[in-house]
Amino acid sequence: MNAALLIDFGSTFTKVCSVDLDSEMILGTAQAPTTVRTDISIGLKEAFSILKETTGIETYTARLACSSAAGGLSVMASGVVESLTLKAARMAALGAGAKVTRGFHHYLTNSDLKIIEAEPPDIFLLAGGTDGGNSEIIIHNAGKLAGLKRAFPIVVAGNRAAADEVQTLLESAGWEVHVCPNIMPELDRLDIDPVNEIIRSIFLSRITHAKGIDKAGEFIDGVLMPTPYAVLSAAVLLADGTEEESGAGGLMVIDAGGATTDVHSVYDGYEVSDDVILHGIREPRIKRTVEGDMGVRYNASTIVETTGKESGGGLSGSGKNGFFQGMDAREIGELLLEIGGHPEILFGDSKKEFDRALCKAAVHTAVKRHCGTYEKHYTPHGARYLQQGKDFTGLGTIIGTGGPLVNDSNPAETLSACLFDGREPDSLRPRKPEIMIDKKYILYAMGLLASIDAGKALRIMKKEIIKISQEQPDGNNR
Amino acid sequence: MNKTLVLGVIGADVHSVGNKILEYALNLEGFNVVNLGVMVSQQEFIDAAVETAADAILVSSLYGHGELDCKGLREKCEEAGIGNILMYAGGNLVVGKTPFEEVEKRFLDMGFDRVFPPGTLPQTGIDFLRKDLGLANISDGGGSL
Ligand code: B12
Repeated sequence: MNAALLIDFGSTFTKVCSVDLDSEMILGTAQAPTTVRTDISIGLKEAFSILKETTGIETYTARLACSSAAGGLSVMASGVVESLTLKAARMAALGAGAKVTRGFHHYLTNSDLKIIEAEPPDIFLLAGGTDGGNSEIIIHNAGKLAGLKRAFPIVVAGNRAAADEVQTLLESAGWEVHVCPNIMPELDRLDIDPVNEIIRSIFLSRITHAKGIDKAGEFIDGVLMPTPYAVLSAAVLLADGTEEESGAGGLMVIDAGGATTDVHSVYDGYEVSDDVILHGIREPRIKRTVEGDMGVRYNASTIVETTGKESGGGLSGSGKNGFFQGMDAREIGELLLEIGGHPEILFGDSKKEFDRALCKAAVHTAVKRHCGTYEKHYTPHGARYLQQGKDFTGLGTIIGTGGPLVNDSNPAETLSACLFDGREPDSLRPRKPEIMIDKKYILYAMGLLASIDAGKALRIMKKEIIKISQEQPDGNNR
Repeated sequence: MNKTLVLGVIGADVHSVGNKILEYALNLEGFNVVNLGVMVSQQEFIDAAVETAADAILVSSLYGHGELDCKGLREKCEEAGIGNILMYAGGNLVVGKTPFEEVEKRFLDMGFDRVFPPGTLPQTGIDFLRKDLGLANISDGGGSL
């Protein structure tokens, strides 16, 4: 048999997925706790032996891994204006599969430097200024970073006119510097790919080693990418297909998790009519956002608190039509305490509704933040709309993944909380997409497999990622 | 080095024709033009000017609410660290029968450096820009920016 083993060294679990490359079938999946603190190969071997019980397979022709263990890939970014170069820098880092632990704009201050020194990132992305634009800020910020005692690679992707000076400043102070083309060469044009690539290559060359992930070396052929990047690659492949085979078209992947809720989209979102005027930076077709305050376990109380405010109290909160409607505040408070003490808790049937409400609120908020907005202005010649960000109202497909959605008895109902809602007409969320679920949690695995055989990965996704419709009564989707 | 100009029509104003013509004329003249188009907020003007280290902000207003829309722009520039940036306003700033001189004074008081009456040709603006930005006039035989 010609089989591939695909591995995700996650923050909590090491997941493995076995694929028969000839029949293009998933043979089995398994997981065991990640053991990065001792030796990451221990957890891998355990997951592997569980998998072997069901598949019986000992040898694999390819063994590929991705990783978000040991804190994942953390990036701090700085830019000049928050809504311009800092936003672009954030998008580039997120698109490379990193998490952005801090973003700074304008001049770095001494208290910013203390923060950076206290929780140093894996990589610092130094941006700012269009080509020929502001150069003082990036030069100032480079000078500040140069004086720090903690070392990490710095990616420079700012004003071209300042790049030489920034590079010399940092290199002469002994820093590892990677200079990229400007992330925002002109105000209305982003150049994100080079930064994205360099971040991933630093991840491979340095960070997997620094975090002890390469200890699994003898059991695998390589750690190829950060896990979120694997998921994003799978999303791109499923949307766009290969040269021989067409994809599913524009789509969005919603990954609800215990610590964050991530949204990935592969969709243009700028097919605008005459009465729409575009504002703000033009976002990339392939976009990833991470909501670090929307993890259904680690941020449960934040979710309850903030979703009420963000939706103007209409859709969430415990009020009428809210996600937590019908639950009384005391009961919610007790459940939150329970989760706070044991984030790994899985609620029984009686409390499932609360869990589902949390998940709905999280996907609602995460998708709302991912999608663009309209601002309506009346003129004597009818309404005009200012569009900021991508318009997803016409999107064809959304795909749910991640534990809370995959284990939900009615994920379609939960996912529909993220759809367009007439009560929030300015939020350009998908109106009537096909709703699908990554039932076996294979997206990361297909992102990895795509690096050796995109056609097979595409066909397996088409088979395994299944449509679920909202109309089905509860419990029918198991 | 080319001088950078941030250009846009402020407020909820959708008159786009003059803006396009100005962009074209300024580009021909060799300026580096960052055109924000129509319906541009004060914040967008400022963000663009900071990021591109612009030398001037050119605000147009055609639909009659220019004064309201422009109020506070200079103060916000000061706040954002670009308080000394050259700032022009033009378009249809006059509402009703108010004499232009009165309108001009109000805009100067708001912190604009120059204010242009309705029907101003792009060339008039360009001549003032050359002067205010210390560029040689083409007719003086200078030519390059
Ligand atoms: C076409 C037009 C429209 C179109 C715009 C279509 C479009 N996509 O642009 C539509 C039908 C949408 C429209 C709507 C409205 N319009 Co209208 N519109 C006009 C009209 C007829 C022509 C404007 C134009 O394109 N001029 C040609 C360009 C080349 O000239 P310009 O814009 O003035 O710009 C030049 C110069 O002024 C200068 N310039 C401009 N800005 C700057 C800045 C600097 C720094 C410098 C140096 C130079 C400079 O250079 C430009 C290039 O040469 C004018 C009347 C007129 N004849 O001007 C009314 C006019 C501007 N509109 C007017 C009004 C009131 C409106 C409405 C409020 C309602 C209405 N009555 O229809 C709405 C407002 C909508 C909105 N929210 O913006 C009034 C404004 C009155 C005022 N300011 O006191 C005008 C003057 C008509 C009038 N006499 O009543 N309008």
